[in-house]
Amino acid sequence: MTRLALLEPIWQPYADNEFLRDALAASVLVSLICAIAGTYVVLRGLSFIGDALAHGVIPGIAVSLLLGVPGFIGAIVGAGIMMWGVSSITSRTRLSSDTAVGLLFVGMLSLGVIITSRSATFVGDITRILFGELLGVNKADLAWQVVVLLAVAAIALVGHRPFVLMSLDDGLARTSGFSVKWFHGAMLVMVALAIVGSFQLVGTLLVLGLLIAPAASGALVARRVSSMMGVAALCGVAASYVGLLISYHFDVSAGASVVFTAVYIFIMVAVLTIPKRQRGHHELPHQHEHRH
Amino acid sequence: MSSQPLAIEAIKLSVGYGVHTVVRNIDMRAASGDLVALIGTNGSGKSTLLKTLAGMLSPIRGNVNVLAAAPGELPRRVAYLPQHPVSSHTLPLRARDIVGMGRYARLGLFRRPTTADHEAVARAMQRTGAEEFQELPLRELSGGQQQRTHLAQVLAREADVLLLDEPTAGLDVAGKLAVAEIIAQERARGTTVVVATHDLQEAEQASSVMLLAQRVVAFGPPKVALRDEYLRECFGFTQPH
Amino acid sequence: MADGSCNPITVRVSRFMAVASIVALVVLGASCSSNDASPANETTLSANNNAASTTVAPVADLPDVVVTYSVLAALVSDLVKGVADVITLIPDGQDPHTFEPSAKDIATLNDAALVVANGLGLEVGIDGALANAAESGTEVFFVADHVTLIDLVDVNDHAHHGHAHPGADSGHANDHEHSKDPHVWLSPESMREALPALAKAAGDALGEDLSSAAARLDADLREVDAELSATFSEFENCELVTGHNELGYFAQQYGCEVIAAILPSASTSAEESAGAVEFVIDVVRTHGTDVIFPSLGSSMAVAKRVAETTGARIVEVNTHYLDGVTTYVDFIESLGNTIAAGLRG
Repeated sequence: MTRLALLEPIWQPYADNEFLRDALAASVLVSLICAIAGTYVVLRGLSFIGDALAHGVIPGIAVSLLLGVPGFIGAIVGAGIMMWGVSSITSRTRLSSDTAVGLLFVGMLSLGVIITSRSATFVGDITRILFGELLGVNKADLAWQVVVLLAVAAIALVGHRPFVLMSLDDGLARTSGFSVKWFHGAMLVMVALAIVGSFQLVGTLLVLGLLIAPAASGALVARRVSSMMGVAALCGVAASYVGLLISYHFDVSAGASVVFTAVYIFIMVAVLTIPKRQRGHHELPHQHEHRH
Repeated sequence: MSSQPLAIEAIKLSVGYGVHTVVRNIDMRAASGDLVALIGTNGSGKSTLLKTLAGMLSPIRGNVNVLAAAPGELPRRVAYLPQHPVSSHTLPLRARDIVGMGRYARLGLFRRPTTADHEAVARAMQRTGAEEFQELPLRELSGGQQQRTHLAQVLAREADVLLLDEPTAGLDVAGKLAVAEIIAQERARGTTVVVATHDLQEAEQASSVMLLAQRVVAFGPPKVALRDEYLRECFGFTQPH
Repeated sequence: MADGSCNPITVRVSRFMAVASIVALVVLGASCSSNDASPANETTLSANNNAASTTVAPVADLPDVVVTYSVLAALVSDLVKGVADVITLIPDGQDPHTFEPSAKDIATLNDAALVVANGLGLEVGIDGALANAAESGTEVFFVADHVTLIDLVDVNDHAHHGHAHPGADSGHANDHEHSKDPHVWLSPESMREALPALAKAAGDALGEDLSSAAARLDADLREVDAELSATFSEFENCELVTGHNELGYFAQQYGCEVIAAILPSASTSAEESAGAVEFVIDVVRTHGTDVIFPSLGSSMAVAKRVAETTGARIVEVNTHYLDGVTTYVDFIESLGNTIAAGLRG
């Protein structure tokens, strides 16, 4: 009996508190959403755009709150503007896409700060936008998240092959008959959905952590897209469970604890896989490259 | 002259990016089984021309047909190998999955691969020697191994036209010979191959050679195109005799 | 991957960009104009933008008294009516804990005859600007310097309440220095305490005798204090569960106890912790509380969760902004009545 009692701190907080169970459910859903979207982001090297989208939605959220409209609508509009802006800058000028992304990101972020700092009708909710309200999640929120998960999964199902080709080279995708324009757009929509679906939980400052860290862990250990997603989901779920426990036992911020745990897991995985990777590199010079 | 329709035909073709023309007035013909070598320095327009033939860039002027269709219209029959595919050094995907991606042009978004697809992949890996490291992730492969993987992916497509941008980059002498052999095999099957290369020795095996220096310096059989005066224009030096 | 651009698309894109930037500017303009920190008008704006402003007809050469936030400004206005223009720096509705001044704000500070601020880290974003203004000769008055301060306690401290809470180190008690609670404006008695010093500072800075205005204000504050004391005397057990830890002075003045706060910090730039939420739920249940008083600066969604879990009601209170009233007396009266009504059920 005492051994079980020792384990109590691990499951009892969840058993005793419905709000914590709901927060866990929401965080798990976010982890699944981000595992799918994040895998393609990491494969394709879109992390910077992911970051930009996460912050670029802030003015959209601010404006929609100003107008008395739910924040996620503004987030969707803001994400749309960011994505449209990036593609028009890159197609109309010689600037590379990360320059365009950087410009828009900073522009939208500062616009968001200006709007929220000066408006008297904006009732000081910037902290909620930045940090999220993981512990305030209710059943309706969970239902929305399932919808987002289905949408993201649908995009992934349809776009998987072009997405994977584009992570090698856009030209390969194009010449295999897939429209890079459309599928790049679809990938951005998927990322935007993941962000919009998650920011209300962990806030816009931290949502990138959930998008990238678990998928990056997956990239370190998996060799196939499906296993990458599986590992990412596992890491995200683990981060959710452990992070919320930390918030409970140590009386610290909930969303930040989850994200911190996700990043910590990534660091552990990276450290644990170093010897393996170095081993791989050492062996290569001895391999024969010649065909006889 | 073959009586079959031309695999590739370009008439007064100008290629470039957007408003910026790189090469003007290209006339080119290639029949089934031909090998066209595009020779030139970096920036001479080789890649631009290849991308235009692949359908990735719109022609700025003039006319071009690949297999009697507009470039890019027949992804199942035209395969393109880009120079230095980008993220190879970070991708965790296995070599054999990369090669398998060559079948996507035929499978589209949803169709499951069949035995025929798996066999095509296996054959392609065999031909480039990629089968010995097929289970390794791309980022653990050397430059030469990655190149062989990408080449295998192109071969797995079983295309009728191959557009290859510096396919022997990163390969040693044996590797280059292997590639030459593969190209010969493809030609024997009737595949038309267009190769952008720095290697003048490779060019000597071609049916026709096009020398580029932001314009067409010469186009014709190797003996004609590779004459000293043309090489000088192209590179500033000539082949040792 | 660049592909050849077609001219029609370029034209469409540039038109769209022009339209989009105009829309953006309009939105910016709307959000800026709804903020009224304009000089020469003493105004207050409610969250619904029903400007109920007692405007002093602007006279060209009245000196400026700059006050950091609206509640304090209302008090100062009563004092200096007619002899100075009161300018509020932090727009009503903005959280003073997170406000950052603009260049214009700093200029306004430097040009003031007198600056009145709360102090104790409430307006943490302006501290630097206030210090600079003081150094360059502007008179800066900190209300908190003239009030009997109370310690900032962790209201979720469980040794105190006898609740078992994992993570709390119940042995810490009072053996280290506590910092002070900055929410001094939530008690009319505290405002009365600061009034003589404020009247003197304002009188000196403006070169006027404000003793009669001060006397009137003092009488008004006494009156509302007596009123609220009477109201709260009807409650045998006044226990308050709040958003963040803000009602310390109010509770002390009217015999109430803050038994839990969703955000136990005195500042709002923080996020709720699961431990704190569980504690609040626990406290609400054991004390049989049936009402929670969240306010601007803590998460309403979390407050709703707590309410749903415990069956308590939510009564939102305005503690940091005026929301439609114009004088300090009205503000504190309305706050007191809202809390009392909430307690009565």
